[in-house]
Amino acid sequence: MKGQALNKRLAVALILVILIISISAYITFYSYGTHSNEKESSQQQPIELRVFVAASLGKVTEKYQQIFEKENNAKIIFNVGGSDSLYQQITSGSPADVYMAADFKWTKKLLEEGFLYNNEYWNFTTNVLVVVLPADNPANITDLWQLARPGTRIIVAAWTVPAGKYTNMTLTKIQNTWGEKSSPNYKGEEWINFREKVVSNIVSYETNVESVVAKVSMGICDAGFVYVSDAKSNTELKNIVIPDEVNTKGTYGIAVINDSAQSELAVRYVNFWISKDGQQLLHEYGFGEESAMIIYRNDQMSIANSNGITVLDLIQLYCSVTISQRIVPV
Amino acid sequence: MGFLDSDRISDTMVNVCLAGTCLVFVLFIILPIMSVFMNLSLSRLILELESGRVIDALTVGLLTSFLSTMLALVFGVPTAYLLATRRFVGKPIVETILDLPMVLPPAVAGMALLLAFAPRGILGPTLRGLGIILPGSTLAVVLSQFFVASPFILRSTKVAFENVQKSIIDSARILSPSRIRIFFTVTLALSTHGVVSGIVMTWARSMGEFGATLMFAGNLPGVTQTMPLAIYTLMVEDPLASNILSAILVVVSFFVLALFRLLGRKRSGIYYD
Repeated sequence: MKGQALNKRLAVALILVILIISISAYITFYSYGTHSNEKESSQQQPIELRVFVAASLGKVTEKYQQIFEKENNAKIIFNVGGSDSLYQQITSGSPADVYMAADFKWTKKLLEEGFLYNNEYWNFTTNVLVVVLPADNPANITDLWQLARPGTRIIVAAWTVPAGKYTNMTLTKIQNTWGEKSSPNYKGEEWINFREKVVSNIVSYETNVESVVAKVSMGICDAGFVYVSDAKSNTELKNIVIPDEVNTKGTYGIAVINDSAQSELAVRYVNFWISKDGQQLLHEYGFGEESAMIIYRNDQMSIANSNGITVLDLIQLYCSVTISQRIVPV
Repeated sequence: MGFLDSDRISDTMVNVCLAGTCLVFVLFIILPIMSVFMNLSLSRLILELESGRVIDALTVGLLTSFLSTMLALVFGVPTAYLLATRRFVGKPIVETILDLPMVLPPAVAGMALLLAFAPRGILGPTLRGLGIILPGSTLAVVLSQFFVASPFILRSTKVAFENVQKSIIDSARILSPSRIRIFFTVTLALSTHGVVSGIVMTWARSMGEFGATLMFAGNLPGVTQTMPLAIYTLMVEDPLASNILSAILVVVSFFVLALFRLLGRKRSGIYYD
């Protein structure tokens, strides 16, 4: 009898273990299953759309979320983060339907590596930098040169993140334009070695620009380099404008990912952002430009880092207007 | 179902089942660890070491984890002794509070530390008056690590002290009334395994601390960028550097574990000479 009781216990234990393992396996693979099975879903079940979105686009995509979900019987799942981190996740196989990056360089990379639906991405908006200060401005900063003062605490995004890359470019531009004695725009001694002095004042390199905004508003530092869209959304923060001649304009990229099971829905989502309505919404949140915003397919005419549209651009545009390009007057 | 009806499952059967489970476990752990070491070349390793980024991360990581472990030791041992040998009102509450950081998600810990010690936090103005701004400093890293890792040494040491029989202490008291002497030569000697185990766990947790450090101390190479932060930051920019840092961390952890096993065996108590 004792032996049988022992056997029963062992059998129960084995069954429990197998059950636990199979339940875990089911849960793990279920999330992949749903993703590819949604094609046959009924009208009632909302279709899931996975959007990998750069941190700076967080608020504006949130604003549009409900409207899109209602109009298309969809449910958007956002994965917000630094564009470089999102790129990493996509190339590692993480399922995504739409990718919105703060630097078209990342959508371009995906294009070159064959990850994009129809092999296309769109340069759909731009953003420039601004310096934000905590509401109480503890370091009494009123001008950019004060950022170079020793003891000023500055937080930026890591150089690998678009916002950080643009910050680095802007700092270099300032040093070379205003801090170089041989430069025609030399503004004075306080600008010499501006970039090096500011870099020595940096107390943290954040993994995405929204962390910079958060830390500035918490008063952890005296100043931070963020986008104008962030300054617009966080009105309690004071800001210092960075003049166009030294500012860096980042161009954002948007694309549908190749293996997306909801390509039709994803295309519809992307189409909103490159349409007039989408552009208007972006403009409300501080993105894009005052004058006409030109959308480019696959960056065919790169005006990524220029400041405004030149006559040459307009001529080039006229010469190569095709079906794949659209002009959206704002 | 023949085998279920038999009187007793054969020993071989049981051994096979146990070994099978163990094998799956081992394979699951060893596969990722071995993958870290593939695709690495010695020349690239030397290049990375010279770049300074890796050295910086190593220095910050080792220094801060050493300091936080020492801090945990200094505060943890007396506290553990108190909790192990004394009874007082509210003891369960104290024990729960001290255990809290172990179950608290690191991000919450980071947030909490910010709300308490950042310039706008509760103690912020006081610290600012003393000229101390914690976020962005190496001290903040040490504090974050101490916060999340201290429960390990506390638990381990407390259990070790509890296991020292009172009769032994009483006998020692007859021979020598000096408390300090008794503590070091009897209590601590018998608890060595627990203390060392606590130190190792605390140190390992400190070395691996990421979330709270990133939020509270920030990410500044050479100042607050510990190994895990460097690995994460470099992941996209320089995957090979990230890989090498991971490999180094694995090797260091391995050596510490080996050291711990060695120490543990030698001083395991009154049974060995």
